[in-house]
This record gives sequence, structure tokens and C-alpha cells, in this order.
Amino acid sequence: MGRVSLAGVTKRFGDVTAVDRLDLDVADQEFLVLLGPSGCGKSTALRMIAGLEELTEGTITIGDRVVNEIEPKDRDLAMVFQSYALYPHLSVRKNIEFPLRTRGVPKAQRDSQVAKAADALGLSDLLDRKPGQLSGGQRQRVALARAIVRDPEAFLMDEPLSNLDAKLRVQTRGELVELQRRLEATVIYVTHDQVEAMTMGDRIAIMNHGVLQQVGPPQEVYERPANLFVARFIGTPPMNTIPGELAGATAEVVIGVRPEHLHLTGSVEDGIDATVVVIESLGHERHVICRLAEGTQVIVRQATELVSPPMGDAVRLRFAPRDAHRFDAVTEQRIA
Amino acid sequence: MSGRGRRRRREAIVGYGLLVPALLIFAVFVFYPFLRNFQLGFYLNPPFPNLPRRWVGFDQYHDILTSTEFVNSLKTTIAFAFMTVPAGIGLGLALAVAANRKLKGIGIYRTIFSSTVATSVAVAAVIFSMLFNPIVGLLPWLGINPTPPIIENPDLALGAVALVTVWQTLGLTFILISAGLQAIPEDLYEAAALDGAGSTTRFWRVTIPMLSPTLFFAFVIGTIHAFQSFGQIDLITGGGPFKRTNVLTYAIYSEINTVNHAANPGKAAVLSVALFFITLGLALVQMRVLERRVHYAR
Repeated sequence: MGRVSLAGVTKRFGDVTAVDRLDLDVADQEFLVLLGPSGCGKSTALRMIAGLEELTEGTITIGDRVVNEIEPKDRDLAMVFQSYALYPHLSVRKNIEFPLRTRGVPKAQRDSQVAKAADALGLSDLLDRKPGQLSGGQRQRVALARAIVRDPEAFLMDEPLSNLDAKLRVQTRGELVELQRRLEATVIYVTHDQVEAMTMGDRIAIMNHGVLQQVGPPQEVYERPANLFVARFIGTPPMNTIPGELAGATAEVVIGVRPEHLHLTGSVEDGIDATVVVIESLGHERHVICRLAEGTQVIVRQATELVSPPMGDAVRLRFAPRDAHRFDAVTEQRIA
Repeated sequence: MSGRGRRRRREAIVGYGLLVPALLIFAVFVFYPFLRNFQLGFYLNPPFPNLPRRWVGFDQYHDILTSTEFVNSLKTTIAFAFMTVPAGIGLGLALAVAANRKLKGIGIYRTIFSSTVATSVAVAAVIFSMLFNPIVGLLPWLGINPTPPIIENPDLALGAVALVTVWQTLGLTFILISAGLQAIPEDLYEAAALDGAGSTTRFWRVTIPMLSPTLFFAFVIGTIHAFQSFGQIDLITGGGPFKRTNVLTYAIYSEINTVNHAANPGKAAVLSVALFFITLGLALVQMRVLERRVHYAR
């Protein structure tokens, strides 16, 4: 297993810069998640690591080798595709065996490695089926088995769970993390789903418009978003952002408060005036959507045990100063 | 009768009613001539018109199908198929793979490669007759000018006609295989590349298996085409020299050609029945033997 390092990696398609000077170090045995909205360049970045796209600028190092000029087949990586990309004409066994055959691994060793990978993913009974005879979840596991049958420098995963139904996705999420720990594997995982990113990653790298926004452990990214984009992108429902002024300073700022840190209070205390617009009940919690006097909408996350305010009611909102995130209104960067 | 049964009956009547026009056309132009052809083969035609024909039953089938003439014609036809089908598919595959890249101006090559699909057999035959012509032809000008000339040469004539056929069908084969290639998902190649496969391995382990239904289809229709080729033979060699290009279709034509004083529709009927069963048999054998090796993606 190895580390993967990107330095100044840039990819331009004509006038469009898909990835802009990306610097990223993925440690050995780390589970790094590349997260961002669609079109943010995360998949392009992954494909450059894989060797499926050429770099416009920059350097990619895998282990101790600079791999810019190295063919995908010689990069010693394994990849799981969103579509799974299973060979439809080959049985499950032959699919899993494929990376070993192309590398000339002897038959006996191939058989034992295939058996091991199939066993790890619960595919032992399906080895003679064709991909067309499998369910979506089973195909996904075959794609994983094909990746783990070797011992590559790193695993690349491009939205591998997005074609699964919600329930299976949650289950597979846990299994993937468990698998990564067991194999002590380096994983670079691309997703647009922040829940996947938060639950799976050792660290999250958030991208937008081809630019890396922030890298850090999930909790740190959640608690100390580096800029407004990250603040709004991470968290469900997203962080409330309210334009304001910093007392004693002239600079305009944006105050960010997470929905769970906003509280409805009685009218006697001081706070921000607001009107209840919509109440969404999710069973375990309630989202009270309020409109502030100047028009901004904010979301208050409330436990269901609390009494719900009536719709249209005037309320006051409070938050503790330590829960407020401050961002520069112009640069959108976090103010320490 | 229940309401449901009545409705079903009415639907059936409407359904069959809608089929009647097509059935009529098929009956007049396919079923009747087909059956009539079988019947024709049982009669020996009179040497002069207006005399009654004579019933000979299977005797005529037996005589003709065991004759040296028929056997030679069949051998010629088989040789012709062997010369045209594999070469045509091989070339079509090579061109399709070559043109299946994202390069600037590749559309020009695709147009050129597929252009023969818009060429008729007659045009192809005329073009190649000119190329082969011993006096003004291109090949003789290039120094390829055997004596006797190519299309009068018993050893070369069939090959020359086969060449024309390969050229003329190449456009269709190219289009078929190109369509098949474009249906192969790009990520299979990417997965194979990461799985350690170089371009040769990707071609044999991904392209060919994924293309197998297309290749199989091209093989079956190519063979049937080869067994039914007629125009180019009629126009270039007229079955000669020394009947060396006298394929079954041409032999059938010779027997009903009114210029031929010994025209014998009965014999032509027997030959067509034979051709029908040979083509049918071939198609069935190909389906049984080849189709097992074909993967149909779902």
C-alpha cells in the first residue's frame, strides 16, 4: 500500500479549467474522500490519478514514483467505477480473476486469491453467474472484489454507492469502511454525498469549481468550515448564513449558525425577530423555517419533545456566541 | 358467451383483418412462387414450347443434384464464400477499429470507408472491369497483367469477382461493426486498462467478445449474401471462363435465360430448391455452432 500525492495538478479542457492547481497528500492507509457538487472536478482529479486523463500541469506521485507518464495498467491501482464496469461476457469468477490474468499470475495462485476476495465479499456462491444475472448490490460487490483481489498501491472509487438503493447504501457504507481497515488500504473515494463523506472518510477534501476548498477530518470540517461554500455544503440542513456587521469593526461579515445551534425563545428575551414560515416534521426532529425581518430564511432544528410554535407566529431566535461562525462577506473566507 | 370472450373474439378478428394485406402480398410474391418452384422441379420440360411437360417426380432432382455440373457449381459457390466472407469481415473490423477514435477529421475517413454501401453492384462491376481491363486498366498499368487477362484467366477470375464483392460489401460491414464498437461502454476499456490490460489484451478480451453478436450477424448475412451473389458475376465474367465462376445463382439463371436454347425451368427449379436448403442449412449450422460463442449483453 502506498501514499498518493498531487502537486499543482491542473486539468484544462479547452477554456474550461476542470481542476485548478490541486495539492493533496493522501497518506498510506488513509481513507480520503473527495467531496463536492457535480462538475466540481473531483472525478476528473480521480481519473488523473488513475491515468485515464492526462494532466495539463502538475505532478502525481504514487508510492515513490512520479506517474505522469505511466500508463494506467502500470500504475498499480485498482478502481471501482460508478457503473461497476463489469465485463458482461465473463462470469463473476472470471471478472474477479481478470486483473490477475493480465498480470500473468499462475493459475493456482489466481484461484486462491479469487476465492479469498469472493469470500470477503460474500460472493462465493455466485462465482459462476454472469453479471447480467446479479442484483445491483451483488454487482457492486463483484466490482469491489475485482479491486481487492490484488494488493495495489491504492484503491480509487468513483461514486461506487450511488447506484444502490438508500437502505443498501447505508449498509454497504459500513462494510466498505470495515473492508478498508481490514485490508489496511489507501482509498481515494469520490462522492457528492456529504453523508458518505462524513461517515467514511478519515479526511474530507472539498472541491468547488475545480478548486480545493478545505481538507480535514470530518468533524473539523463541520466545526470549522474554511469558507462560506464549505459551511453551506456540509451539514443537513445546511448552515444558516445571515449578513451582518461586526461590532466595533467596519468590515461586512456573514454570520453562520448551524440549525441545531439556533433556539426559539420567548419574546421577553433579546434575540432576532423572525416569523415562522414552514414547519417540517421528520419524526425524530423538527425543522422550523423562519423568515428574518430583512427577508433571509433560516432553519431551526428542534427536538420533537419541544412545543412546536404555530405557523405564522412571531418568534425570537438566539444562539450562543461560540456557535457563531464569522466569514468575510467579500472573500467569503473564515475570520478567525 | 361471456363479455370477455366476445371481446377477445372481436380483437382476434380485428388482428387477423389487419394482417390480411401483408399476408396477401406474401402469398402472391413469396408463398405461391416458393411452392410452385418445388412443383416445377418434378416436371421435365419439353424440348419445344407448347408441348406438354412430363412428370418425372424425384428423378430430375436426383439427376441434377448428382451431376458433375452441380457439384462443380457448388464447389465454386463455397470457394466464393470462403474468399469473400472472412476477408470482408476482417477488413471491415480493421477499418472500423481504425476509425473508432476521437480524432480530428475522422469523419472524412468514416465517410470514405462506408461509401461503398451507396454503390450498386452494377457500378462496382463496371469500375472493377475497367481496373482489370488488360489494355486501359489500372492493374495492368501497375504491371499486374497476366496472360490471359485477369477476368479471362481460369485461375484468377473467381478471385477477381470475390475482390469486387468484398469491396462492394465493405461499406455495410464497416457500418455494422462501427455501430457495434460504439455500443461498447468506454468504462469497460478504462476498467481493463486499470486491471493491467494493454491495448492488445483489451482488443481480444473486451472488444472482440463485446462485438461478438455483431460479428456473428455479419458472418451469417455475409454468407447468405455470398451464396446469392449474382450481379457482379453476370456483369464481369458471365460465369466463365470455363464455368470457373459459375456459382449456383448463375447456373440457375443460365437455365432460364431465354437466350439459352436449352432453357430448362425444371432444372432451374431444382437448383433453386437446392440453393434454398443449402442456405437454410448453413444459417442453422452457424446459429448452433457459432451462437454458443456469442455473448449477448443484457
